[in-house]
Amino acid sequence: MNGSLQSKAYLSFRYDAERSQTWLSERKTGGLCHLSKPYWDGTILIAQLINPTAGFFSGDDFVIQADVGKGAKVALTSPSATRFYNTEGVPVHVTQKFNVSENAYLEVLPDWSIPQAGSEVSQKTELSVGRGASCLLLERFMPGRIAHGETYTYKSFTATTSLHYDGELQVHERMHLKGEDGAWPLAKDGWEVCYYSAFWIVLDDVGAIFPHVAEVEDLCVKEDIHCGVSQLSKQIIAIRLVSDKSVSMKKSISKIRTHLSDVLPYLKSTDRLF
Amino acid sequence: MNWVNVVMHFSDSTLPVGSYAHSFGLEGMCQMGVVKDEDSFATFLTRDVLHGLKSVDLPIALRAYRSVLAKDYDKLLHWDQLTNAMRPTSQLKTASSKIGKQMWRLYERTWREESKKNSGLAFSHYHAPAVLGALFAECGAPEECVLQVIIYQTYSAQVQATLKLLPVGPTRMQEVLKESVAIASRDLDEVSALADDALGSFNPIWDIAASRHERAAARLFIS
Repeated sequence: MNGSLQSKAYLSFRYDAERSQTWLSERKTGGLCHLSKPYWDGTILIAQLINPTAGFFSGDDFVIQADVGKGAKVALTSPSATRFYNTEGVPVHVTQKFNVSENAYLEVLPDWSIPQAGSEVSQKTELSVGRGASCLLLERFMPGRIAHGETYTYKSFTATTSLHYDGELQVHERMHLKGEDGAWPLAKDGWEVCYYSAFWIVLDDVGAIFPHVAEVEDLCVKEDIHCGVSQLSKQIIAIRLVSDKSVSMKKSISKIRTHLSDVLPYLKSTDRLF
Repeated sequence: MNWVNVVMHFSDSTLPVGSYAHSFGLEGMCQMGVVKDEDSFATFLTRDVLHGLKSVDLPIALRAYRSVLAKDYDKLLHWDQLTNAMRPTSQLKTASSKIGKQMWRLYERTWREESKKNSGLAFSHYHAPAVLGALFAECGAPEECVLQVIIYQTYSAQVQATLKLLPVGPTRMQEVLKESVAIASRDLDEVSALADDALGSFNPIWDIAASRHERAAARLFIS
């Protein structure tokens, strides 16, 4: 394909018991992915994934796998939105695999995914969490360059999210949006635009924290955000959010994280990023 | 065993499987103001519910049906497990699983032949589309029957629920039911041809409404 990039990234994080510290033990990046120098804040290792090409173009194919070893604690963030440009009939493929071993912790905090006019995107996210491990995965979607008046002009955006706990498939969601469908199924009648976000919380047993987590529905009402929380299994809680205002969505994500940090204390480490 | 008898028995809206206690997220959609009258209800059926049918329930039922015909019971377990993973909220999972379990229990007490009881056929979660697919395959019903029964049962349950939730006329609702069933029955070849990696749905407004309904201060239905 003319000018397209095929790129694979691999990251491996290990816990060093002697130093009581998580470290990046293996790193293969380049092409469509750069990684910042990780920062150890005394509790978790924070690393920023950066797309050096300013986005994905026609025919780009990107695979990333991050393995978080036993006891390691990691937050992966991205400092800017992931943009998908006009793919001119040749779709972009993105595959992200996160493996979180026993008693490890992973937080994945990407910025917005933005499919722009003419883009065709297929994205797969596979999260596999071992016993005793925990994870928080955030997803954010914006349906085009809103400020440029470009909304729902992508050809298609397909994002599949699969969550396994201890080897068992517990969540399989397939977002398949077509530009020709306009705002459906994202928006309520009367909304010109809709911003979507979801938190996936994975823990050994979410039952004890669920009542506290469910309180975020009320927090969101104050921000004029529609929010629904459901416990999907013994180990998984989904928080889904839709809004017609990006500022309200940003505020709500920040408020939700602060609220969740009462029961998921590692979130305090990445508070400053919000 | 005559498959027509089994199909009629398990298509009956009075079958005591507990579906009358569920609105499958419709009550939440009414509480959220998305479904508020006849027109928005008809749109809900022919757009949102249809999307769920064509991307999850119908293709899963077909796969379950074909797995039983092929005596591939591991595959049947796989499709049941996948259905569980594709249900977007706690109550929608529970509703589908409880109804399916009760259907299978009734089938075992009524039409299931003794000789088939040790076949090795089993479920992990008893989700309704997997159960109906398996049940109809065992009794020799044609493939299209599975799809038509699921379409009818799904829409009929929604129509019954809406009569309790909205000021709509029962006669008009029968017309909506007929129109929705006719629309859903078109292009069933697409369902048959759907690839495994195209299974799954996404409808955040419905999911949020169903999630909030789980803790609503007052509600008529369980889901």
